[in-house]
Amino acid sequence: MQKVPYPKEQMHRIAYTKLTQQQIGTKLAANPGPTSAAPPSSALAGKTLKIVTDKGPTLGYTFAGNDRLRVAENDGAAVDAGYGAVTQGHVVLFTHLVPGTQRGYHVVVDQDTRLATVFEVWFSGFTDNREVQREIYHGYVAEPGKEPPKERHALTNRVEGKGFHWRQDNGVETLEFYPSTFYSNFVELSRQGGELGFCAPSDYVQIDDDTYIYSRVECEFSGVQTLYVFDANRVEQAGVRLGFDRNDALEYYVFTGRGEWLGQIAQFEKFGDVSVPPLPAPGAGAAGSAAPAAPQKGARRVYRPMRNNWTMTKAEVAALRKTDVFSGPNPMAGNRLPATDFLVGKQVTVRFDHGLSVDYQFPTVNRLRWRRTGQNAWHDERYEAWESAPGVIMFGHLLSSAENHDCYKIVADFDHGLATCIHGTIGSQYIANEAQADTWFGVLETAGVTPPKYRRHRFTDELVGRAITWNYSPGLTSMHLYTTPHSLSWIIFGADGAGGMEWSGPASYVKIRDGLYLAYWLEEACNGTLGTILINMRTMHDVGIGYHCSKEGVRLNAMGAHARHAGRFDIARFYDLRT
Amino acid sequence: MGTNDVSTRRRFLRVAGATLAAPAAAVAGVPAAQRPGDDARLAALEAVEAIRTLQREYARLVNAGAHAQAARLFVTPAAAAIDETVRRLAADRFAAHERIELAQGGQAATARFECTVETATPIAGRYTLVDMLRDQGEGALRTVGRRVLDSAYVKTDGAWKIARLVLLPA
Repeated sequence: MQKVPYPKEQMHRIAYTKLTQQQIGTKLAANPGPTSAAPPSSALAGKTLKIVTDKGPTLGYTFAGNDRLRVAENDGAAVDAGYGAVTQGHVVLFTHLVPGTQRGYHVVVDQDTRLATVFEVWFSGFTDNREVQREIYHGYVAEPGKEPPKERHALTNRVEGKGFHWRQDNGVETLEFYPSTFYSNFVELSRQGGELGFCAPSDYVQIDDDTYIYSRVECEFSGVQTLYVFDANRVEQAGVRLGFDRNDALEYYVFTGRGEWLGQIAQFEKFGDVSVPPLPAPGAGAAGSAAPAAPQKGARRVYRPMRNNWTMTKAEVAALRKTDVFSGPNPMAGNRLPATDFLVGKQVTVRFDHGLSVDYQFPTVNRLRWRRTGQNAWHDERYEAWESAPGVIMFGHLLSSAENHDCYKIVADFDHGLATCIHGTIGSQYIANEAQADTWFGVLETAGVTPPKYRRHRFTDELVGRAITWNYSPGLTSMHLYTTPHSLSWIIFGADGAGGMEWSGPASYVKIRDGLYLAYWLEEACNGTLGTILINMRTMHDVGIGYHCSKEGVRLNAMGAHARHAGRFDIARFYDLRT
Repeated sequence: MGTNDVSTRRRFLRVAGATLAAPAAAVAGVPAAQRPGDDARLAALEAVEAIRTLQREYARLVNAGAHAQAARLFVTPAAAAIDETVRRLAADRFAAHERIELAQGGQAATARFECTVETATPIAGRYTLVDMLRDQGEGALRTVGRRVLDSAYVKTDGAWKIARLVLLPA
């Protein structure tokens, strides 16, 4: 029997039901309160709490036991609700919905300081009703005769760069990375088999130097929220999950968990900057308004690539004739290597292991001729080539006559007679203008080179866990986090160096030489691009080729960036196949 | 900044081809009537100070993104060509290497000073990272570099205005 629960569809391919407000209301009304694998905490049983927030509600609570409470919002009429509580050290987290509404609260109280942070959460607040919305309020627990504390919990970048392996008391097991100040990356080991990592907009709140609140909402996927208090020193967590799963069932439970610290990657803010970067949420003002409007309640910056209307029909893709092949400067190649004339005048045959082989002639530095070995007709194409390491050439070109707008991106090692090709095609079973990729291993034959019979470039997990920044042009810097052997995420930096938006896609890594890796990633259900780079860890420089299909045509563009090694998480061991 | 700081600057000030004694602050405390030629000298120093003030105001407005207001500092505001990519303009070493030359008659001047210029040029094209930057409210190629602010001024109706202002490679 299969022991690893690989999903039939990965998260970015699931067509989540567009739940109506009424459907959500019905499901919430049937829910008595959060469940838990362990007996719920009785830390609040028999107590009353009045929580005052600075810019939000005042909440009055009476806890009858460990699963029922009465809540009064802003001194209004109290209502009964089911609740669940969990504790993490001196911090208690409790959660409840407000009966008759699609709203609720996750409340975090530091019992030592009386400081509180309230996450008000609600459904049906966005185009996708199922996506949990949230607003964060900081405040305190009011006690008669006591002055309100002056301090507050606050958003923080102190979590940025951390990574943990979490195992919840309900058996859920994840790898979670926080390489940004408002996004995070998670690998579902137990739910989905850990093939791919995914990203979600996230909040980070500091309670004290050990203790933080983390919250993510799986926007553009199920819309589920996962929120927990965690102790980074003791690697313990206590949290809540709220939302609708892929089968539209309500997940509403509290949990505790223990974990393992996986490492710390670099931050790139200025030294001394421990604040969260002031990247404002998008305003709610009228379009064209010069003055930034105050953000709407719950507003946050969310990357929603599939809402940009970039997809095409099969007929549109088939009719495409326009191409843009290495046509000139572009922002992704501001720091590229100069093109090499290494190939000029050479005749090369690249013989792949699956049987196909291609003959090449390179009359000039940017024009090549190719044909299938054995055929007579040559095809002329524009190409570019770069010498990343001595004797290692990366070059790429379109196959103009090919049915799927195919491209070849080839790394040829003339010192070792080896070649690997990333064969790009346009069109997946999901999106007609989305790039797909195959990896072909083989050898190259040319004058003076006798290729090996058995040795080949090979897939590797040596990059897994690493984080590498890429500065493509001034002001255009991202970081790759190689989260699994089959996926990577990319993080955009803000002007102040803080990690910002993040997204991810399927990926693959091939070892070319020691410290030299060929990587590709597919921006599936994103922008459809196939990015391919040859990473030189010695020079900390890459060369690469982007491949993209849009209504403007098929584009092959150079890439090139300066790198910095941002650190490494110890995670490759989580992906081994074990008996 | 104290007088001593000013007195150490290597400013260069000329009137109609003849170098006027510098540093400027060296005569600051001397009554005009006490030295021959001081009226002309004082007028020149006042003109230089007015031009410096104009330069500083131009930089302040450009740094604030107030390009329309900055254009009003020009003789012909409608013809003012203000580089939209400049986000910050700051004089190097407190304008220690500024060079101001007054024309004969004191009604026109040229000036050059070294400065550091930060530019932000919107990134063109559709690339995933660029799209994400735009979603973050950013999306500009940023550069920081040293330049020379080369400018010309005329006095019109008793006030100095900018006749020409360009940023040249340092």
